Amino acid sequence: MTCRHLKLIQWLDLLLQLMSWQLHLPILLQMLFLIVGILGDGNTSTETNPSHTYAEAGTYAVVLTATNADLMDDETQSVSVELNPENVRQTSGYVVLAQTDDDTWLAQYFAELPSGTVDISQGTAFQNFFPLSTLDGAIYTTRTDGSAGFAKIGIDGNEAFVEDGIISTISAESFSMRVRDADFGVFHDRSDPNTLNTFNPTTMEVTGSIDMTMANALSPDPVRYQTFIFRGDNEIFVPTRLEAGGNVPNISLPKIDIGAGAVTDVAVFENLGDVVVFNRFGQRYLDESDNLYFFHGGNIGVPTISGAVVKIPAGANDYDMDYSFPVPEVNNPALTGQGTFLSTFYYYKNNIGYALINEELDQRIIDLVTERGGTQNLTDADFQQILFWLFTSPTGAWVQVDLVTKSVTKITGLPPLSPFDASNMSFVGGTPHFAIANPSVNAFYRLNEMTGMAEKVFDVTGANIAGVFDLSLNE
Amino acid sequence: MATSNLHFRDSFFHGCRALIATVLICFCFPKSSLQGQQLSTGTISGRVTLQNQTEFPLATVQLPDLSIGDLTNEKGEFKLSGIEPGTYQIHASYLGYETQIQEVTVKAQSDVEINFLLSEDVNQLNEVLVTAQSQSTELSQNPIQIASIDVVKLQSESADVVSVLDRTAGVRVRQSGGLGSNTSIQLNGLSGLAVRTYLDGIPLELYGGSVQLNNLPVNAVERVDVYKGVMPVDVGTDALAGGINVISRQVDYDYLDASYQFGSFNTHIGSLNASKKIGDHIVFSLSSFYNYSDNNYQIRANQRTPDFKEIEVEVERFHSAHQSSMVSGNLGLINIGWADKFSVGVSYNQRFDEIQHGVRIGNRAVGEASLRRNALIGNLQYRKRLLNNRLSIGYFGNFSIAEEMVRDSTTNVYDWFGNVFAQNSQGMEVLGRPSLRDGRTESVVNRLNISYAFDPLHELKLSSFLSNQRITGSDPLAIRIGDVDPNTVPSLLMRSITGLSYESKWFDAKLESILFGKFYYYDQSAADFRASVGNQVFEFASEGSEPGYGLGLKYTLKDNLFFRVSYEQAIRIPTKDEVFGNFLTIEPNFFLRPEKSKNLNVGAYYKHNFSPQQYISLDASWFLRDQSDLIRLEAGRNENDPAQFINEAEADATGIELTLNIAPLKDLQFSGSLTLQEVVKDGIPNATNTNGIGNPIPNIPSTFYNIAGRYKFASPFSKADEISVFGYYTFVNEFDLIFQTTRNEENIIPLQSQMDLGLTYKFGHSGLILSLQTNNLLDAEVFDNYRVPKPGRNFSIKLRYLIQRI
Repeated sequence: MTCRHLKLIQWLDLLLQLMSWQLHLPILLQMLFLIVGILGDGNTSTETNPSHTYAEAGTYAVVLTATNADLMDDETQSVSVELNPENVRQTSGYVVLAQTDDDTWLAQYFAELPSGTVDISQGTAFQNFFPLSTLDGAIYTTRTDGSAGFAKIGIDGNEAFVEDGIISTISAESFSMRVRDADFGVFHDRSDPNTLNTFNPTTMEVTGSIDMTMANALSPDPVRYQTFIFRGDNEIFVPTRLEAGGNVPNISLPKIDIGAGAVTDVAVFENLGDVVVFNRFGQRYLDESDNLYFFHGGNIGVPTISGAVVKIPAGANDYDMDYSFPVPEVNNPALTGQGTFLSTFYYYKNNIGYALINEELDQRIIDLVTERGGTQNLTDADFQQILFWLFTSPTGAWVQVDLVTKSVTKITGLPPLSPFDASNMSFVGGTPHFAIANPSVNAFYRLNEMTGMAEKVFDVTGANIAGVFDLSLNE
Repeated sequence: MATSNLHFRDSFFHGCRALIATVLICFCFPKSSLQGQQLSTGTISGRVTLQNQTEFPLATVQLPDLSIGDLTNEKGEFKLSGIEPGTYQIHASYLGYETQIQEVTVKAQSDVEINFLLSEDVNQLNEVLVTAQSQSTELSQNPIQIASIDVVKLQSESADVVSVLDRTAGVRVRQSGGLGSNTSIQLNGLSGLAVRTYLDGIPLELYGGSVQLNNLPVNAVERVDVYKGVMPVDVGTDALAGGINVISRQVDYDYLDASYQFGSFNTHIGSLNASKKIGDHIVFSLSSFYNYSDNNYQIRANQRTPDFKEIEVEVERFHSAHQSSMVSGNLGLINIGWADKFSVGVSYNQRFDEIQHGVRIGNRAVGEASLRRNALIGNLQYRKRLLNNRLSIGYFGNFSIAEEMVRDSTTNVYDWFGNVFAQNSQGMEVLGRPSLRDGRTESVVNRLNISYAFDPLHELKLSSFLSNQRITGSDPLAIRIGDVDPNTVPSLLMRSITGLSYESKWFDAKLESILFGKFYYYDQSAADFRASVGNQVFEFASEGSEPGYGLGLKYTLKDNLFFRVSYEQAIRIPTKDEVFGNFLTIEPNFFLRPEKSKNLNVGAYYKHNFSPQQYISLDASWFLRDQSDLIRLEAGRNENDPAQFINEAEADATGIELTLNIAPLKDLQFSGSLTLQEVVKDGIPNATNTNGIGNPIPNIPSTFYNIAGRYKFASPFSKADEISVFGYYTFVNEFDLIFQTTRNEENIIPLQSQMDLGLTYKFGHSGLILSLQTNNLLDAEVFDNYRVPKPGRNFSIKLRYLIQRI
């Protein structure tokens, strides 16, 4: 064959190929463009570039169907759909919170409760982070950039902390807020002792106000509100303290009637000059029958008053004057009349609660009081010294209390603590846990309810552990 | 004061120069030709004074026509005799100063008196730094590391002392706003009160609180000495990282220096300084200033809305005015038998500040709170040299009565537009609780410096500093203890610091050394004025003592190359504000201990001259510091716990500072300085003290630099007029407000860069200087503590009029 022939054949071949393309083109176009896709959630599209937004992440079958007048074919592929992580909000998992000596708050999200050692310095730093409630995975806290007010903080799909809404207050010292449910929460802007505000925790919109005039009238000086204890759908008990510091007498506990939009009752424990204490986070004051267990802390200046758990029975508006459970005195009767302190109390379940108390009284305190000839002669400096001892001497303990039998059991396995230790309880997974940070220990403990003994869950390094928050719990 | 301790070094260098000059004069101008002409000839005598200098130079006076000359003596006097009658040009010159030429007519058998005042030659100044050792330069080369800023050459600019300092290597001045706002100086990685500020060697806070670095006009200042590392015993009191000593202008010749500056934000700064010499021994001087500014620059803020949300607004500050003034009169006796200098002075200063916000820019403005202060101060100074100038005695005494009035008691809540939009029953805008406190502080301060020179190379110095303060007050809104307002119970604060140093020169003065020891003693009793419970006001008492010591060495390898190293154990006793708090947001801590630091500073300096006016110089230094019981402000932990100063266990700091000066042309100069530093927390790790150890201490910038340029040329309008253009660029890299390893934007103070440009026009020799300046030319966002914005682009015009006469 000559070269010329060869060339001709090549040309012919090319022509045939082109013809073949032309013949197939309509079919190919139809195959490509006439797509009937059955998307995995039942949606279909005939667009050339179909797109679809799935409501949830998951694996979906995508079916490509091609038809023309004569033919129909389909092919199914499975696709894995992931959500835009910035739009995702975690509804479970754990936030470990710690604080450095330089007042940096460090928070880190963990999908599973960590073990071993957590280096919290790798967490996100905030100028302020003071959790008050959790709801549907969001943490409600004072604002994290130091501004006045409250913020709703969510954790997104990248495990980053996101501000999902704020409430701006006039007083930068406003720190009282609690969430009851997705539709209702309460906060206090300390600029006004006569008013509380209600808000929608989902939208962070302020929805109304509550008249607190009756509570503010408990003292000639203005008051502030410490926390909000929700009982049922219509009642809020409000621990109250003087704005400038100091106690409202008789551990008064005003009660709000939400329907009335005002305080309607005030529970008082007559002639009890004790210090009102309250939990910084969440609720845990009501038992399964709606009996409300409140507590007062004990008074250095009046050692005859013991820190104690008191009770407002279900349905009642007043304290049960027959119920007083002086936990530290029961724990160690030898302390009676010398100075007994109860600095934190949480109701758990089945009439069981937990309290941080002093087990012993530091001998130095006893000696100083003896030297002065009685507490009435103590000076301000003496009080400061005593407080220092109470904050530092290892004479404290977490105890389990039975509120019906009024019995006290020390929790073993925890490191030595001071009665005023900054340790805190977290009910991770609904069970009792302890976050403890002092010069010898910086760790998170779980209570083994079978043995009554605490076991270490993880150590923390980088900052002092302040708490662990279970995002699956609404507190 | 720094001037006295330099006397012998001055003498030493002057001595060398005198020797050279005498040889030259003897060589060039043979005196034989002058012999035997006494009867038919006359004499010229007089004095040469340097502008803004109290010391008399060894200046050269010449009659070029006759080829004769003389050097002035220690009183600045000269005498040329045997001059044939006639009219001559007489030249007076001194290195670093403009040569002055006057015409003089000499008659037979008569004495003509002629005086010279030499003004500084800005062009030559940098040259002077090496060859003639102006006081500023000599201080810069002191073994205990010093930067000395000659403020005189900046006086025609509208700069204030703070902005002058901010352009110095290793110094960062942080200011919470415009004129009159709080300043904090950062030096060698330390800030706050760890860096002490002095006016003429007396801690600034003892002047009553009205006089501050940022309202002190540059015209009232001679120079600013920056001590990086250690301070000499006769200047410093107790400082950790060094300090700033502002030397006020003190001259003993007639002059009048008035300036008025007008600028953006309705800013007016006026200053009048004058001195009159009566006879040979009496000098009366007056120093005064007046500052006013609305400080109404634009800022961005978040405004709270009625629905509890916030919107960002751009507003003009409306309650930020600052007004301050000072007048001070001084009567001095000089060169009288029992004193080289004896002066008594009275000074009154006052300031009033509107307060626009707290430490942060919040979601609402402060619209009424204010702070007023005033102080009456009497002072006495004495200086005498004895035993053929070997023994020098200096005393500075100061008595002051200072009042401060805090006004923060409104229930009105203001928005950022200046309208009342709500009520706050807490009854205050800024503070933890309302206050109408009137406070009164009486202070007595004594400083005695004695030095003895064994010879020009060895000198022993003793310094004693003693201050006593008594603090009382009253506040109608304070909580009563029984019936007593706890503010009315007096508190007493005493501190005494005694230092002994031995300064010497070895190996042909190539090696200079300073060895010193200090003893610190404090005793205080303080009433617990914040008490809210109890039946009696409790008084806390504490006393203690601490030793301190140090060694500084400087080795000069060549004229233009030297090395220096210093080590010090430094102590700082807590100040009144740290112990007592600020009577407002900060609680007292009566148990606060002094903070201690071990400082090591190493530095080197090199200069290369291409020609007498073209050069390049580099100053490099490195510091290492091990600090304990660091005093820092701790914010309240829970609820509304007030803040308090506490002792922090340990901190380490290290850093380098570089300063480069380049003069590529005679009238063109550039300078730049760079600081890199790291300040980390140290301590013994335990379970919870793992936090922060090894981490940077937050809120301290670690990288900053600045660049300055200046060019001078003759005016195209008149040859006698001079124009200088200058520019400054300052850069501070972003830094964290709190400790963080994961970046969270809300905790970051962003990168800041600011450019200032200016022009100065000097009208011949009329004494009139006009300057125009624009700050923050690019209108960049610049911030301060807690991201409080500083002013954007702003302008000022300054007119200065200076008359000087000998």
